Amino acid sequence: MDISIQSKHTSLIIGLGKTGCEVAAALNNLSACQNVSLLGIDTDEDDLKALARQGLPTLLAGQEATGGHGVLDDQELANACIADLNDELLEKMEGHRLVILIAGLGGCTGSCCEPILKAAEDLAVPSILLAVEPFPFEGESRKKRAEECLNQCDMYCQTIVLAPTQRIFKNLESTPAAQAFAEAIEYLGEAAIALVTPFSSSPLLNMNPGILGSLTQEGTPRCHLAVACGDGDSFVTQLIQNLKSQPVFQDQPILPCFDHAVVLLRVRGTCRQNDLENALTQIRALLPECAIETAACLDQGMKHEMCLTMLLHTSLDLDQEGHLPKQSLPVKNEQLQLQFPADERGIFSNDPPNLHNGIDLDIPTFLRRHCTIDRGY
Amino acid sequence: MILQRKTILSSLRNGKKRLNLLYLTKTSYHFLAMSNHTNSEARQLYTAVEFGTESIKVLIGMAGDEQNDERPLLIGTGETRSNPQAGSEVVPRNIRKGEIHDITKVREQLRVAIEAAQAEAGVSVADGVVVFGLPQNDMTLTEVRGEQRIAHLSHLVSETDMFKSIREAHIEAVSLADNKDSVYIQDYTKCFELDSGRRCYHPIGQPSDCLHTIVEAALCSAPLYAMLSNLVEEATNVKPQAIFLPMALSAAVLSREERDICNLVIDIGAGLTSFSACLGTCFLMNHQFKVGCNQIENDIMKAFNLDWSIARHLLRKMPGELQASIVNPDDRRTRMVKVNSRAGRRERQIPISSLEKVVAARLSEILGMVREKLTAHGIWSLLDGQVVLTGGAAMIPGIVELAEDILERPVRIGEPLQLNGYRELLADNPRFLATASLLYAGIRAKRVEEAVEAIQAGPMEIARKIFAELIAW
Repeated sequence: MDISIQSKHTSLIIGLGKTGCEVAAALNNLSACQNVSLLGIDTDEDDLKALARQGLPTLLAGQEATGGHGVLDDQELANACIADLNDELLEKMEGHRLVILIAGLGGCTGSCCEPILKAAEDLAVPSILLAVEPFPFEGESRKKRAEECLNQCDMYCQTIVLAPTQRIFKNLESTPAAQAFAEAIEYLGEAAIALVTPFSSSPLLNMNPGILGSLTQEGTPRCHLAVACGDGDSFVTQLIQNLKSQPVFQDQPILPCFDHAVVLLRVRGTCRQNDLENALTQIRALLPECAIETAACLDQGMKHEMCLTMLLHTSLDLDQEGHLPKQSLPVKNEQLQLQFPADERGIFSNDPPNLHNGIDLDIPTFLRRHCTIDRGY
Repeated sequence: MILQRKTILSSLRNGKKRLNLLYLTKTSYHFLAMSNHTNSEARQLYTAVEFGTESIKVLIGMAGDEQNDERPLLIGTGETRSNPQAGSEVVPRNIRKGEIHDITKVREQLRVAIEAAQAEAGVSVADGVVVFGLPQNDMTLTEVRGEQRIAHLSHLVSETDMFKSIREAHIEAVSLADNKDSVYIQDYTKCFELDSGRRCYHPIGQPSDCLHTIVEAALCSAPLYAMLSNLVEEATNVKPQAIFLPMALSAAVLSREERDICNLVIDIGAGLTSFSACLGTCFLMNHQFKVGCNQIENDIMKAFNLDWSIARHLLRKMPGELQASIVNPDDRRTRMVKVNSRAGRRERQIPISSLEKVVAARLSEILGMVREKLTAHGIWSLLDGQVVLTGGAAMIPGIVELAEDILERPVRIGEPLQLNGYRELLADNPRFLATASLLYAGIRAKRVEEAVEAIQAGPMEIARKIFAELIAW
């Protein structure tokens, strides 16, 4: 697949429903998304007008059928409204090379992803569904609706990336629902930025044309998403913690589960090649048996110093509760260690590991501690 | 001599320095030598050989007259690079992390070092005693116990009980090497245990039906010992005696007064970091990690993409030309050093603060490992004395401040307090302190050996009196 990094507006981000539109609006003001087309689609006119005032291009669905007052929990009506947009959608998608659809599943409009993804397929534009499942407190009916939506989308969408709402909710058990939604929106926003930035900004390191292909290749099952943002040296640690805290991995040896990973690293301000290499080295060491593709880029508009997004793909089927089945996990009776490349051991590269409490002392301390080193010029 | 003994026994009765007697084992019997040596014998030549990762060091000394409180005198030094290969990509090959890999080249280098030491001292090492250090890599440390039933009606531990308990433990330790696979090198007392299970360091006067002495025996595999022993013997024409290197660390660098409290000696060499926590003549812990200045150099090499030789050069220039300190505040790019990253490439400028950061990270880790190890064994809280730093890393500027931060104890750079002549030959050179301690430990060990033979030949009461003399040392 030929990717022209300089070409503008190669990606289209569509926010669908209230949650999706709010994510799209949040992205609209970021410099990282200057070269990305954005579109908000909803059936509630008032909500869309508010977002339009923020500069987000919008598309009202079902104006005649609903009067712009939303579908009022009528799924069939919502499907009909979105399906009626087919021509507009084709027009909006024309000329783009990637469509990212962001939706909060469970709601009526947000669960109407199928028509949009179908339109993308009709134009032969690869698509990624970036979605958040309903929170546990939203009830069974919304959960069921979300599952049906995902099953339909499997037919048209190359990759479905699910934000871990269970983890978000777990962290916010004692906080209001509104904050949980806000957290989910922020999470989706970070993921969306990381997904589109490599294609809209100048890359710094290992810009791998294969990434887009990996994300959109035919038959790629659902991926799991981990996002870590942080300042300074701790961001990789945060990523690992994020991964481990996701319910899907609970009580499971997570590392052997994955066979493909896409890692996107964004850095604000001065970027040190050494930092990027260190971060990516650690990711590679964490997933030694996983095929990893990486990209890194500058993003001056970021809130944090660094942001690392990882999409992990597993071929294992999840159970009904979204957990990896225990019996199908490959079990290894060995201690997991972060294996650094032999080159990092310098003059000791041919020596056996000099282990102390599971740490190889021959690996430079500043690398293991993720110290930032100014290498001079 | 008789008068001196009377004074000592009087002190004993008054309870002075009574506790020092508790830790006697074979290696701490050295004090006995004072009763066995004439002045002429005390002037015997001793040679210490250390196979360091960076260099092979040889020190020649002359035993002092202990009766006149005379310290051993250092008279000759010799040093050769352990890995003298030429070229920019020189990496340790002959000796790596304290282990000898190329015995032929090490033999050649050892000869050169001995010749240099002999030339400086104007003597032949063949005329004296030769000792060499064995690192922990080559050793097996085994804990053994000696048991003594307390026969007194009072059931209070007496000096005689303690001595018998130590002797039992020592016999047990020696018997560990009865097979042909291993050779007994040394043992040292770690602590005592009462019948209640309580461990203590001062058992005299404690109520107990039984006293256990816990000693750690250092054993070396027989083939390895034979190889090293033959290596030294070929170069010196003297059958050498092996010393467990971490145990010797404190021998020359602690004053007699300092031995009454618990001190920690840390030697950070090129390939190994050794430490010894000692209280009186008791060794609470001797240990080694396979990490040292070579790893610091490797860190610098990887951090700045340099040749290893340039990284070595930078580390060695830190005290002088670079005016660097590892506890210097991060002043970013106000101080730069010019280097050639690789042979033939353009000149680069590296911030000295980054260099300091890399070195400090590694040193912090090493010192943290020492603390962690001592804490895990319950020894850290017993350290009420100073931390003494020796080895090549002790020359890195700012290491004292860094160590004080991490170890939270007063820290100083080691000095050979128990040797004369050191300043004249090796002024301010802590790299040689481990070898100097080895030399001093060798002198003690030889005298202990002779004293033990005297004890074994005589009745217990005589032995006990001889031991009493040790207290006045």
